[in-house]
Amino acid sequence: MNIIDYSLKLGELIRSTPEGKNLLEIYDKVSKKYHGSESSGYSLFNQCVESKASAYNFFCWQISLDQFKYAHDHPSEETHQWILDVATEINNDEDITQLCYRSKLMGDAIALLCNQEIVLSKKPTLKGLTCSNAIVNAAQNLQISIQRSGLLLYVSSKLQNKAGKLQEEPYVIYEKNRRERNLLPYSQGAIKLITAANDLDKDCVECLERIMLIQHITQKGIFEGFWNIFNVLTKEQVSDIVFPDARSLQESSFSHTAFVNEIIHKESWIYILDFEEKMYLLAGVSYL
Amino acid sequence: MQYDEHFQSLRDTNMLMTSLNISNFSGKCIASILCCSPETGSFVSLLYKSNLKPDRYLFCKFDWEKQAIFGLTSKEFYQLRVVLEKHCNRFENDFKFDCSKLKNVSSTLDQLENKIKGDELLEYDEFLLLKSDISKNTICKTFIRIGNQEFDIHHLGIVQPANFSACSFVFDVSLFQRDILNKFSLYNETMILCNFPNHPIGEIGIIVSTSVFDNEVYCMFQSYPAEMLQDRRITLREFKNILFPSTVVRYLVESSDNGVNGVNIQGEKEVENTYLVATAVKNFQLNNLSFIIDEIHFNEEISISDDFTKLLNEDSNTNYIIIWMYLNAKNHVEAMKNASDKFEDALNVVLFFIRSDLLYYNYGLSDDLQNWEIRNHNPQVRLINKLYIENCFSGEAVIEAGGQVFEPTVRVLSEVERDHLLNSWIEQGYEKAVEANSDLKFLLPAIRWINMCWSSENECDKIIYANMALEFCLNGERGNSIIEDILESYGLNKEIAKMTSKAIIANFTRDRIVEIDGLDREICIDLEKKMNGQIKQALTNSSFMSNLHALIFRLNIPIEESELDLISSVRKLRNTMIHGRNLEKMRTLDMKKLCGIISRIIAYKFKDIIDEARKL
Repeated sequence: MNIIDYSLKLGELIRSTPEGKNLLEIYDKVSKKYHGSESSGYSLFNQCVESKASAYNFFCWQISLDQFKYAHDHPSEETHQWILDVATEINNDEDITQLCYRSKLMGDAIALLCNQEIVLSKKPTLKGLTCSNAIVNAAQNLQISIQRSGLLLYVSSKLQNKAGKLQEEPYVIYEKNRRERNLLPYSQGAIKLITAANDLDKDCVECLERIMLIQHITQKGIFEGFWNIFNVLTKEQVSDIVFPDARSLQESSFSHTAFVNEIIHKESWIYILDFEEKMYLLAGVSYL
Repeated sequence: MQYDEHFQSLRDTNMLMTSLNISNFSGKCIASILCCSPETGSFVSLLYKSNLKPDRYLFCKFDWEKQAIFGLTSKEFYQLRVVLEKHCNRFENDFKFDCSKLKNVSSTLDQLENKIKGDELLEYDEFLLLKSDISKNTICKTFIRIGNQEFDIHHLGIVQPANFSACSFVFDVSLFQRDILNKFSLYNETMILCNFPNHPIGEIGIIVSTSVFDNEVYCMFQSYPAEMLQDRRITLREFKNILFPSTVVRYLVESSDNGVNGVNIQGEKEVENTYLVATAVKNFQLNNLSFIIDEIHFNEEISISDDFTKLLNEDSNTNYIIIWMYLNAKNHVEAMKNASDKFEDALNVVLFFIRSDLLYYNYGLSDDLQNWEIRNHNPQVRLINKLYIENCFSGEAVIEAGGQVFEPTVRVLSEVERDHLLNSWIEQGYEKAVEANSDLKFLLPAIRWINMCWSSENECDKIIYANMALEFCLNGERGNSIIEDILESYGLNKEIAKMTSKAIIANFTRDRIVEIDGLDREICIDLEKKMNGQIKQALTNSSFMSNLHALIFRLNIPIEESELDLISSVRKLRNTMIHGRNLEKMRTLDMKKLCGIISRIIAYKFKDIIDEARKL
């Protein structure tokens, strides 16, 4: 079991919380309501949601809604009429706004867990979720799997006397900028940002990237575990794989013949290649 | 125990003079030897071994005050030789040379006496000797203290190898001292002190082995932690991903319960971290099920070192499940100790519910009946004595296998011991004890319990067993009643206290004609009689400690005050334990001491009953 396994498991368990049940319920309701109506405003809205799912996880609905709303409230000459129509339609559908609201609440709870609680030594509380002991234990398992991965040891030994620096202004600005770009950690875009930050301490920037990678993986794992949309591929289903050194973080590519298990057509997936030794891949074209 | 004396250890000398480079010889100090005798006075000598092969050994004298090396006179060398001859075969691992050859060195030296003036390096076969013809030694007061008792000695030789293994000493005993020595418990801390002017030299530790000759006692002597560490098989322990050597040292020292209260490593901060501790439960299967009780995960998937799983699979019995937990601790030992207790408690709770028929009727709380089989009692479900302890932050892990295995594993009985066992009173005692209605019949269970106490691995069980042994041993002993104890504490002498107590009890329990509304007079009289009986019994009861004092006094058993305190403390532990207040533990050394003391009491009583029987 590694960080991804524990995040997927936690995501699965969160389905059983009242908040999780509410979200699944409203998602089902909306899906059924608009099933078969390909040309509805919802269908266009959903395409927008899907394109954002990989980058924003649980926030993809709310962010899409906000974008439509913004376009509606601040129309320009370039704004198509269909955008305004969709915005009006979805804004008037209480189920869709509820879906956006509930998914945002879930996103907030997961972000709090992954960005703050999980790197502390205290047992996670999962604020915003009504949790059973099993879920708190699963969150603790995830928290400790991060410790056991050696991340915190790496950061503390790398930053020894520089830990305070991360609170200094240039680093805070860099981090804010880095997070706003929402780039896949260690992707080409992210590496460009790192190289551009010449005036900053390289160790600090590198540690920040590493922390963000873990936060990204855990959030994605929980998200995909919740929606049960991660893909486990067997050796037979995979071809043309460029084998990376599975023990470290590397770029790789492969083709597969499996029917991808997805509810949302998103642009990034967690793939678990169930070979002799398990490999975990994050596909993320749009991040590049 | 606190000591007022300030002294240095012999180890400090070889630390000061680790290597020696003089013409014709370069080598390392392998031992320091302290000799005290009325003939030569007291002096410290150093033994060096050459760096190059073949092995050569150099003897010289060390002057502590000047912190320099000097030559030995022939008398001093003779003294040194006598000491070494007695110790040599004990130190096979530390230095290997034929001590009998030293005799030749001595005799050659005697022939050269008066021919050599001043310090000179003399060579005889593999031995070199820094020789001098002047000696300014003084005779220093030298004594040994065991427990609270102290006695002077005139001849003493201590050999302290430089590699920190056990040191050994030989001292002379007069007939009078022999008598005192017989009464010492060897588990007591022992101190030897030689009062060199301005720089006393001493050693503290416990005696780990002794041999007695006509008028000399030979002892191997170690600080207790060294004994605990040395005799434990540490090959059954594996360290993984170690980042700091201190982790290993700390684990080795602290895990052996040797009385060292924590290892203090300079510059190291004590930080609490999350630890993963895992062990296995054997003869237990959950198939693919798993569950969590509080923080203990039963059969939940977890990544742990393959070496640990291999170790678990080494046993032919593969019916086990892994149980594990996370907990915060300051180091591996603390994590191990806390987790072990929790594992035991959690498993006990699980076993309690699954073994009996409790699950069958759902504790009587619902109508759901489950299947049940009486054969469910049979499987011996228990924790496997193997642990995996990992610091989740640093990844440093310890695999602890097999728990405490101590060397030697076989008890070899010597001829002398055999002869002692054949002592007629032991044989007669045994014969008498197995007879029906024998006075000794209570002593066999006492012996049985104390033996169980020696061999038990569970610390709480040990406390109960030690108390059981004492209870059986005190059967038939009668000390002061509670009132007598109180009266004596006011300064009354024994006889008067006894008489006064009788009067008090008679006064408290005299018949008063009590009338209670609604009850017949006969019933009231009966009630009064019964109550008086209860009061009398309570007041005339003697306490456990008072019975013990009576026995010790009656048989004149040599027991020190500190030893009585130890019994009293184990009694308190037992009381808190059996009244369900707390489960506390004792240090291993204290437990060993206690077993020694109780064994002594039982043996004295055993012998006394036989002696009494012989008189009749």
